[in-house]
Amino acid sequence: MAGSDVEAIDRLLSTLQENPNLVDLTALRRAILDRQKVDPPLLPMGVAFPHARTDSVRNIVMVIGISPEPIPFPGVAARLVLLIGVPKKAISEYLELTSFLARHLRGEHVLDGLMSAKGIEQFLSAFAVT
Amino acid sequence: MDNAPTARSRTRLSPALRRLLIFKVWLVEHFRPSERQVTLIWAAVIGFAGAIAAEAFRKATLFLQFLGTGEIRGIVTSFENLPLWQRFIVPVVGAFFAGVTLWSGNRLITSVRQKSTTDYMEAVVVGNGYISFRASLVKAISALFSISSGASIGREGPLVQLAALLASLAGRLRHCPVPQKRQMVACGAAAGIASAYNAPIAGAFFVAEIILGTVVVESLGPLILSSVVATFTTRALIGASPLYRSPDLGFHSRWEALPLCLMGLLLGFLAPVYLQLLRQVERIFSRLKYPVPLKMTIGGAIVGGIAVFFPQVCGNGQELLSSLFHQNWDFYTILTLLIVKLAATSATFGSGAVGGVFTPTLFIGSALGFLYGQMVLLLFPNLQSDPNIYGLVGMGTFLAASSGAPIMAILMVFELTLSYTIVPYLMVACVLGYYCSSIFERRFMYGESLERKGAAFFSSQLAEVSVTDLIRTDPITLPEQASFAEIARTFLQFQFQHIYVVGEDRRFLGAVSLHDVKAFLDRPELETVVIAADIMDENFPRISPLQGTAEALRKFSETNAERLPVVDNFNSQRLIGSISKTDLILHLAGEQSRPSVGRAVGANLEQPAPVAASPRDGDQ
Repeated sequence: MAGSDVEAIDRLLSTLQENPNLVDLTALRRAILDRQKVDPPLLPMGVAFPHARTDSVRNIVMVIGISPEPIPFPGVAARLVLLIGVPKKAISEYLELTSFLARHLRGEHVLDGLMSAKGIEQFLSAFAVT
Repeated sequence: MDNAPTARSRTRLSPALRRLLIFKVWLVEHFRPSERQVTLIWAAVIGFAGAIAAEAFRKATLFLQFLGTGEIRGIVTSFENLPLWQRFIVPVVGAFFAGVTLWSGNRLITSVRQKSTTDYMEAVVVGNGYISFRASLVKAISALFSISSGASIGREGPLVQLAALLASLAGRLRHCPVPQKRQMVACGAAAGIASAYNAPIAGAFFVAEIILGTVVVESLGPLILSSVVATFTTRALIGASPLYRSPDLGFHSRWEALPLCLMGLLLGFLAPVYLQLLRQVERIFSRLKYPVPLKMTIGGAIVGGIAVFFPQVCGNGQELLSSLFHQNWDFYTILTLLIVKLAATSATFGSGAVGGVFTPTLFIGSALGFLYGQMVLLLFPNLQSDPNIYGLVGMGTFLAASSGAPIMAILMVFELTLSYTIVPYLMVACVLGYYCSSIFERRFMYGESLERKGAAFFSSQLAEVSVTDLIRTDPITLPEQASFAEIARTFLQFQFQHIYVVGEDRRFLGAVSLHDVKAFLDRPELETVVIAADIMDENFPRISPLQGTAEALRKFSETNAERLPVVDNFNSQRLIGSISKTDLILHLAGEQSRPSVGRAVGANLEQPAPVAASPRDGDQ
């Protein structure tokens, strides 16, 4: 379990090392942390989605982190962390994705379904509940 | 700590506000009132107001004419019905009152002389678009006395002046930058010409060719709209017939093109003589060390003296011109009327009366054309020439050669007569006349006023207008942490396609585009999770005041934005304002036209302002 938001972000970023859509991991980390400083993106029910629009990714990337114990993000104790990297040009895609997540992650039963997911299929199917 | 911050929830949009925003975006999408369209709307408003002002001036002239002559018919008819002593005394009294008005106006306003002007051409070409309200009013009242009492000068000058004044006031109301204020004054001038002559195309081209010295779509569009609206308004008020409906014209031989071309050359030689005559008489009057009212009274006495024997010289020459085409005057009658009209016009103009020389110039050209046509008929009877053709072509050619504006002259004659038969010949003769005249004449009819005002003033005014003048300060900005709801609300409140995002010390960070967010405005879930920094374009082009206009234009060509942010320099990136594409293009168009100012642009349809400039009337 991560002890802080930065630690949680670093652990999620480490999974992207080999991702073909990644251009520069350091730049992505810096962009996400800069964004966190300005105004950490949070949702009720303990969801954090640190993200950044940056050219350090070729396409949208998303890493999902589930923690049984709440992680102290500024303003929320997060159990579900969605780390997102979006290319600069993809403003519409970014807004579409953010809108989707913000709309679906407000229901407690959806969140429970996501938290208990054992794989990506179960995770995605949890959204279908809504 | 398991809840999202509640502070941001207070910034949410209400459903009604969101619906309103979506409706506004729909309106913007479908009607998109860009700056150019807003300028067009203003041009239409100016056209309407200019026509109303012109009509009000006409009515006021008729009223004063009725007081002086007891008639409201044409000024020539009114004078023909007067006893001889009254033919003399009416112009004298009118000129006296016109002079007293100018003289007292001078004394009242003379204490403050600075950048404001009464001259609409100067306001457009080198000024800042300001025309003094009080000084213009004084000139308009003076013109009212002159014109209604039979002075041989036209009312088109004051009509244009009044329309330009209204446009200048509208420019002040808009708080727009200098190039747009100038453009609005130019629209006023076009509206004035169009309503004076029922000639919308010529009205627009008069301003484009003579005042702006350039035909750029950016500036021509508003001019045309303003002219057309003014013309329609005038037609609704006083009727739609052309000013000089020409009789049926027919060419009997294609060889007639030769004498017409020759006439073009001949009138090209005579136009500089005409301009010299006007200048010489003016010089004689300026040497007289008499007060303005006395000088103008002398001018009125000369006109009155001629009117005793030739009442046709009274007024701008419109009735005389009409008679020329519809009465079969012989050679000597036309020659006599030409000479007395020249004398009356130069006396009125030289004495300092406020008014136009446009219509008198049309008459003089037409009379010369008739005389030439009658000689052609005499020398080459086989050609069976119609002197009316020569009269019409002469009218346009002499105007082109005197004004240095052949395009305007061609269009003007076509619109005044609605005769297409003569247009090809008219075009050739006008061009020949213009080129011939320009060999001898460097300062055309409208090239005087600015020169009189002095090179120093001219240069300083030019120097004052730079790219920095185009900057509009205090653009609408948002901080980078502004929520999506705030962004939406700002787009709702202001008619911009882009909102600038600034950081500390107003450092420019990027711009949020309405185009990017419009599809998401109905998503309330975004209102508190997306901020400006997430969706701004960090590479949005920006310019520095140190960059030239060419660089600014290049940056505009790379984006579809109507405005670009201006930063103090590219290191600090501090936002100091924005610059509009329309302003830049108008500015560049003006810059390109200015070298021709000394050649052709300058004066007025009227005398140089004898009334001192007053302080700026109003804002900024």
